[in-house]
Amino acid sequence: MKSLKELCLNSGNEESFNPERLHRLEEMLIEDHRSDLPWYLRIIIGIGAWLAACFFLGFAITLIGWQDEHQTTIGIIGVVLLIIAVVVGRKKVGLFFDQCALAVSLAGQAMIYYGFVNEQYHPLATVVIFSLVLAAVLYIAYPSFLSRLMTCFFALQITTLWIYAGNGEPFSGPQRMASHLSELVLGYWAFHLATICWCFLNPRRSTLFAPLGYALIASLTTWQVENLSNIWSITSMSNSYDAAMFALALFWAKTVLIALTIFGVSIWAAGGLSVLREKPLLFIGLALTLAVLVWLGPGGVLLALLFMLLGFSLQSRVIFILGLILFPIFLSNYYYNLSLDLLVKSIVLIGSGLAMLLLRTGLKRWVFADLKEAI
Amino acid sequence: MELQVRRDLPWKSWLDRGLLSLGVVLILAGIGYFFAHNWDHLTDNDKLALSGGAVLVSFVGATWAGLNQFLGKLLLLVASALVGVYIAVFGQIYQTGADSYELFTGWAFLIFPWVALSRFMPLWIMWLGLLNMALGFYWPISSFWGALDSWDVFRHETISLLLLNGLALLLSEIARRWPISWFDRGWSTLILLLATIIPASLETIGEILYTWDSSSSSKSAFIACICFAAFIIGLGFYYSRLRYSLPALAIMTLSVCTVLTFLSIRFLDFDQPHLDAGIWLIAGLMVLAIFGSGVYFLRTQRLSHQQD
Repeated sequence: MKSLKELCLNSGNEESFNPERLHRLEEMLIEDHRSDLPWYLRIIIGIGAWLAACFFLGFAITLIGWQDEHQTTIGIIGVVLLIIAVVVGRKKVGLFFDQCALAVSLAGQAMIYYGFVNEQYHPLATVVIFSLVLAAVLYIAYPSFLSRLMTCFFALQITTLWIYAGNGEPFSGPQRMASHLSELVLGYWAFHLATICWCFLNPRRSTLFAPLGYALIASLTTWQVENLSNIWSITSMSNSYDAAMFALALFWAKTVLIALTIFGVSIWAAGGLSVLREKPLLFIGLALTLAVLVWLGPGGVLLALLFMLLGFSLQSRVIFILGLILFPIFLSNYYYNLSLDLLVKSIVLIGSGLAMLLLRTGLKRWVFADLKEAI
Repeated sequence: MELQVRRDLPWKSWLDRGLLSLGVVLILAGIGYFFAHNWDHLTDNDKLALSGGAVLVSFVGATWAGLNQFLGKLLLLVASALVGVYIAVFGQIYQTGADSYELFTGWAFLIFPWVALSRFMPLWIMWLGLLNMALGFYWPISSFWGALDSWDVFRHETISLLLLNGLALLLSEIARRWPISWFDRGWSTLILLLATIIPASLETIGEILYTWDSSSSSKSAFIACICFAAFIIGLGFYYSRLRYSLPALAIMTLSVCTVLTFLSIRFLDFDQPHLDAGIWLIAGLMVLAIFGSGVYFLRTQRLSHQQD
């Protein structure tokens, strides 16, 4: 096999590939190869950096004492720490210091929240606005993937809390008017789905907005798991029948939105509207399948399917594996919660399995018959 | 271009495998629900016949597929796992009163011939896992040394697991000198190394945290640290000089860094009620030094072997 130097020297363009330049290029490549650490070394570096950062924060906090009269001081130290973290993080000193900067930045943010926008003294709406502004500022100022992801995720989750709790005491149950709550929940759900597509489905945006996209996916997953655990139960209504109807309507609306997103992503993944016009029957079949799935009401299963589809078409292992993990969780929860006895459940499960195998046979015979690919 | 990449993705095989796996899993779950529904109506003989039959079917399937084929080995693994189900059903029906460790020991004993014949590393790892479980469940109820308190149970468990997994690691390292095709040289060694190093580290950390200040047994912490150091130096020498493996060195480095961090915490007396700011600062600096040295060691090893 030819070396890079030989390859470039034989390419005929001596002007741009002179030996000195090539030597430098080769050195750079070796250096680059050396700095490319395996993942397990990165993990050790990360653990050390985060642990050290925790001890240093313990030092800072012990110096001033963690008391309410020092709240503003803690906030100011948080700002200073955040500025230091951003400066160190932007300099790209090395992986160890990058991780230290990330840990210090997160601790600095926590201190800022405690110092300036503590929820004991400020309404939750102020905390939400503050978290969104801080996330936006740090997204621009601190170009670290993890920092962007974690800050955005926190802002999104605080907003979820505000949507359900309003300005009332957090975690003591929803206190918002039901009609306002339904509008906000649906709007926020649609915002998540639309922004995920906006971030990922355009290659020009995907690099810059990938951390935001991942934060939205993490937020949507957390929200769906929270729904699974009935954290956001509708308890503010006086009539339990109304509450049940309201929750059901919201559930259907959210499921329809996910199904529509799956349909849109499928068209995109298949190649766009031109393919839709070429093979309308295939997409009608997909739409009908999605309609049946919406009617069956598996909720989170559709979200897992969306992540698998998105992960596969974007070739993103993280999103795909997240979908793979969520799929059995939501699927088993769906079957577990069916109000059927064990015998009927077994018949439904076997029937579903047979339906999947039939669908597979149908796809092989009529849809993929003329398609050849390497397996 | 980007559109072409999406079109070229293996959609067909993805859907094919996905629907096949989902269909099979749903049907199996349905069969499971069917038996769950009828379990109370089944006689004891039916239950035993069902669980024993499942073992037999898997074993016959493995023999039919051939033990040199992946499917055959996988079916033998399933049959070995189902032996445990059979033992559990047997114990439930006849109320044998057997302890948990006896179940795992019996299970490991019964499947040993298959494990030896299978030439399949995952089955060996599963068998070792069963022995680990048996040892883990044995010490809390052991009457061999008299009644043990929780600290002594912890000590006995970590030391016995260290010896068992260490022996397995030693045998696997000796066996790799022969050209055995099925013998995996990568991940299985790392699993065995992890299974050896985790109890060694836990035992040392336990001694550091619990016996350091004890006047009666303070020496045991010191002895544990010396033994741990000797053990790690020996392993480090082997995996850096005799058989280079960076992942193995990384596992050892992480374990050393963890033990040294706990040792620093012990030295700095972190369990006092009001910690000085200086103690936090020194601890932070020590952690930086410990992990920094660890990473430096690993990078040096990596670079020196890249140059070789």
